[in-house]
Amino acid sequence: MHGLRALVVGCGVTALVLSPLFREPRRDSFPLSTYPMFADHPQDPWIFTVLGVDESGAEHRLSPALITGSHEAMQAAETVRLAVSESADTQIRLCANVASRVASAGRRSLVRLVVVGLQYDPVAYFTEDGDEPRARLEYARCDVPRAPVPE
Amino acid sequence: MTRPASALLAPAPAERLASLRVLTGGFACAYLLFFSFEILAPLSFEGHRFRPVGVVSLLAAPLSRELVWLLYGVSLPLAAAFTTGFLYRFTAPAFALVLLFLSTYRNSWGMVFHTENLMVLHVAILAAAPSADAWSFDGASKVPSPAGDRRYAWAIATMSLVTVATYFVAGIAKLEISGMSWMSGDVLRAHVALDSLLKIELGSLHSFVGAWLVRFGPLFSPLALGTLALELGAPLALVGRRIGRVWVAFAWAFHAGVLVVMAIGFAYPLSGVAFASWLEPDVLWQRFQSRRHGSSN
Repeated sequence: MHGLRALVVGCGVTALVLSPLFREPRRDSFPLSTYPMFADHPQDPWIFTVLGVDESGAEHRLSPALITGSHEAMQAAETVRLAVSESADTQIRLCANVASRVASAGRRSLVRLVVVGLQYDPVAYFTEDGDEPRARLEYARCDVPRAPVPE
Repeated sequence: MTRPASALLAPAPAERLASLRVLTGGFACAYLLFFSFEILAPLSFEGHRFRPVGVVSLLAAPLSRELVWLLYGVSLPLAAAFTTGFLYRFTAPAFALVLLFLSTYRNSWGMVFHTENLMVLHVAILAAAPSADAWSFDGASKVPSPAGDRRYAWAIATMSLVTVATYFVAGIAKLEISGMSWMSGDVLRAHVALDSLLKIELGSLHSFVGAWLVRFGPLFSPLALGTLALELGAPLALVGRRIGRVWVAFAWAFHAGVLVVMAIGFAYPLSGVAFASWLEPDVLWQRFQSRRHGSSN
């Protein structure tokens, strides 16, 4: 009985873990992954995010927790990318959701949010004077709701 | 039997498998507690962001908040039961399923992470094996054979096989997607730079070391070669225990490097638990115990 269980579980689990070798390598899943995370060359990648704007018009970065409710930067960027790849309605809804989190977090200096895509050469950013994005696209804007001032 | 096969399936004492259960279960308990914010993050995600993968693909829509809380709440006592070997026949498979579902659910929102895969797989293997015959509530009444038994060896061997397989698959993906050009180091350098830049733009913690290293392009070719050698050479770790331990040392150093250069912490390998199937933790524990008794006498 133990021998049969050993054979079935041992061979079965190992075969399952190796099975992603036979599918398109960029098609990821969990926990049976192709582990494609660092495999592709990111040529002039776009970074999608939401920026806060204050009264003077200056832009401020927002944390992943404000953008998505998770601490993961990758997840925040991916969430904005997916919203951007969908409809204008989705982009506005994302902006409104982030705005309500910004208001709840008490970031009173921010009056407006903007959903943006920024294109960089990541290596040039750190090796040359490449800290300005090569291109920038704006997808949506929304106001940060003002919390009622207690009397 | 061939040398690798006989080395892998050499009879093992019940304590060896039990020690792996305690370590893996203990890590899973810590993961559920310390990463609760990330595990429960989907509660604050908008439903339209749901992109189910793996077993969660069976769902047409996200779970209700109550059900996610219930699953998380159930996972904690199940993790404790798994670790202590309490009613193992029932609690271990239940824990393996709940952990699989919870971690897959966390990965079902447009971003697949790669930090929990091995832990989930190792828990599943241990749950299917007689891992609670020693060092457990269930095993208190059992008298395991001191010489060891093959029935405790297959799960240990499968844990090693699965660990090796994940690294090998990662190496193949790099060659399939980028070809031999991955070895030039340009892809790795671009990823280190992009990772730091993305974290800067997203107001998150990035690695200053990685951002600084990007200036030194030629450095990335040996780093890329080393990464591919580690991943594609992983099956060598199954040849014998000594070679296996050398590979484990390099694999751990690789993850430490990823932490320093990219601020990405693969907690399970970094803790060493992912590689414990090569390390005979029961022997280390016995040595520690006898040294402690020796010094107190």
